Amino acid sequence: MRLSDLTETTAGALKSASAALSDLMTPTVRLGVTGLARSGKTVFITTLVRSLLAGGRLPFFSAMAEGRITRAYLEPQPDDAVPRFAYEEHLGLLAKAPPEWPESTRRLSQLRLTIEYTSKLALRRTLGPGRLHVDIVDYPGEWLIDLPLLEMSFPDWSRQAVEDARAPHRRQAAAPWLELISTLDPEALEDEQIALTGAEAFTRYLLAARALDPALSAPGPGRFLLPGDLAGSPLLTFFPLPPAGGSASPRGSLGAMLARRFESYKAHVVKPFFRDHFARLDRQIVLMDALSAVNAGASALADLQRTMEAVLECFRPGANTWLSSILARRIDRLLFAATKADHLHHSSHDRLEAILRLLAEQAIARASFAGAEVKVMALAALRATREAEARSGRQTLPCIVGVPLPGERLGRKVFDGVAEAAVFPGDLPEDAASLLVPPAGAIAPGEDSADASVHFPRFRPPRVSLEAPSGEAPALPHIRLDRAIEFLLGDRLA
Amino acid sequence: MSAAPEPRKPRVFAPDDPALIEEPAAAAGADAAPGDPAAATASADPTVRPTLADLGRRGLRWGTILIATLAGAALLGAGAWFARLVSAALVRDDWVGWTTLVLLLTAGVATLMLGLREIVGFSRLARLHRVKAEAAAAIRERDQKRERKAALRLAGLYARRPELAWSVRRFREHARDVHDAGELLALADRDLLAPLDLEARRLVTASAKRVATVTALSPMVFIAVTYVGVENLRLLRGLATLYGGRPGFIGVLRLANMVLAHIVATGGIAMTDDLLGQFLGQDILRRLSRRLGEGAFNGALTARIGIAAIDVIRPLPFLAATRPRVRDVLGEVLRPMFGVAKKPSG
Repeated sequence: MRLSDLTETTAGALKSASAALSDLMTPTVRLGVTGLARSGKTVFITTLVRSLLAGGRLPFFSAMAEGRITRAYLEPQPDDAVPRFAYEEHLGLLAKAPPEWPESTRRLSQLRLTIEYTSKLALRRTLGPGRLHVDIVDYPGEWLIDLPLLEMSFPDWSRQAVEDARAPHRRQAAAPWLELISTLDPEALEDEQIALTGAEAFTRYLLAARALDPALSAPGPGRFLLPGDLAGSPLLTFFPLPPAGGSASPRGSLGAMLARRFESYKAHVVKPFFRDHFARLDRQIVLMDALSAVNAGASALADLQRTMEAVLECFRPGANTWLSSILARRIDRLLFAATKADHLHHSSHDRLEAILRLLAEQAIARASFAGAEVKVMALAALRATREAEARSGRQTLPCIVGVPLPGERLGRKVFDGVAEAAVFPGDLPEDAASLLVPPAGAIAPGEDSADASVHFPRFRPPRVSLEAPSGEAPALPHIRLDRAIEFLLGDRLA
Repeated sequence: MSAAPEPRKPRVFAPDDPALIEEPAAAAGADAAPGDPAAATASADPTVRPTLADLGRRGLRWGTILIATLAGAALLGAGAWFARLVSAALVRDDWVGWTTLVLLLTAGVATLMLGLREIVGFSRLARLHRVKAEAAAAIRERDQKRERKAALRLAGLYARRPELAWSVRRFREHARDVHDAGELLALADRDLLAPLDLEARRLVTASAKRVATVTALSPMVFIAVTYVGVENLRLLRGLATLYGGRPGFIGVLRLANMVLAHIVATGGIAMTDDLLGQFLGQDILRRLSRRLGEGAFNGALTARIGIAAIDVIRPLPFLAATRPRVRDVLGEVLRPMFGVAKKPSG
């Protein structure tokens, strides 16, 4: 254990202590919205806030259904160092004609929502303030994949990165970089120029791997994909380089320099990110876009499973990680949500949940074992489609009706993003595990959509009208958002 | 992959494809919703069987047959006697004869109307019962289609009630966002029936109060007993009307039969829950005043019958709403009585 670890622990404990103190004034729920890039974090937060502010249609959010919420409003940004979540902007995008999904998040932002309510419990009514702060953080999902690095050493990480790069669907993008590192000797003298070119090649490979299919869970580190304000900083001039003999490289060598930079990346980028935004969560929702992964095939699903597994490992409420000591607060409710549930008919939602359960199997087991309440549901924070049934021969196909995004394709049909279409995306298999088995005759990603047995095209968001002529805000359509809110916040508003 | 005999490939349909059937609730003006016609046909259906007796159909019951045949014979005898009596009046060709004829005709029409009303009442109860059976089946099988049907039918049942207009509207709006088995009926329970439960509880409390007061004040036991009977039947009718099945007289009797059966069936459980404390309390009360004790007992009885009647009549089991308890009602009934009790004793 190093000194910084010690001081950090103390600081964290102090922080949670001060948080506990301020909780006495007004209780605060820190809601962790966790999800990889493009899993729908921003949309979830936007519609969550909108539904609470404008009184959405949330029949199963009991505090609202019982009419006990008197008011909900956005607080002025409490933390001056962090930008505010651009709620109004995202909502504006959805209200445009034609509506658009909010852009992928490029930087960290934060929002504090205050709910004024009347408790059902007499004691709480007399003693409590009847107010609850909900703190929500939005961040680029790319950064999340850094969390597992905290537990890794440079040689381990290097070996895994090289292994990842050799996976069949990345091999092509990774070829130049792999070629480059095969010529490098980790024992050679350190050289800034080699570090620069290597990092550049590595970054190019990461971006190329992601460009193939942006919905895929990309290998990290996340700041290489989305540097934010770190572009060009020496913190980012490193790349994985497996040491020759398996042991650490000697002092002054190239390998040692890269390892040092890797360590400082962890210390200066990843740790603060984790410490400030994830270490003190009360409730967590893990959003996973299982459908895109199903689209992309077995290897993508396995990737997603592995990445989420590694990420969620960091939230373990057990002993012997450096963060567990900071985690005076534990996450006591954990919700796994398969987002974009509106992209398939509700009769298949149970199968989607089964897939999610399989993907997050270990995390679920771990959290339940640690005593947290865990729930799995298929969710659509903003419902983009309607449901319909189509007769085809003797079968009745459960369809969804909506406007697919331009460029989406199903079979030979390519959608233009204007016309509505009723889509039957195919049946999810009854046995979720069969999706993880690659079909015979592996197909390269991006080319398999023509004759896949399931394919889920993405849809345009519904046009959100911000104000009806009557002056009241119309409710946003959703699937199980109320259940999710009830699970995450319901007991704090009881 | 999947167990389906032929794997279903992804397909695209144009939105105006005739093969496409949109979900019914998606239409914006769904206020005169699909529940209504079903409810209308149900009430207009003349061949409704009185299927209320869900307490098990038994085989031939010789005792019933004996009583029925004896009663039939007696009725025939009385009819013959009455016919002889009336025909004596009818044969007279003066004003007495004509008046008798008019009276008889009017009586005939009245009987017919009563019969019709009975049938309509039965059909209403039967409709309620059908919704109940369907909901129970849907809950048992976790069948979403049936559940949706039952819930929309229930909403149709209450769609014309002005006091429930807002609830029904809200329910139909929410129903589109509900996807999981069991949730839609829970929503219906909370949105549609919970307001009725409050009113039902009020009815039961008022009846129990009246019964308790009349029993305590009535000079003769006979009057009190009659009043208890009448008031209870009236309560049953009120409750049935509240939940959407206004029955006729025979319907009420039938209902009473079911309620008694229900009390007998569930009595053992409820005894420990409600009756014990009640008897203890009333024993003390009886020592203060016999009349008051009897009043409290009869009031408690009425409350019990009322709560059991709610169980029997209510078209859904208590899924999300809380079940009214005898104890709650009783507390309200007895409170004023204790006020009365204090005056003579102290």
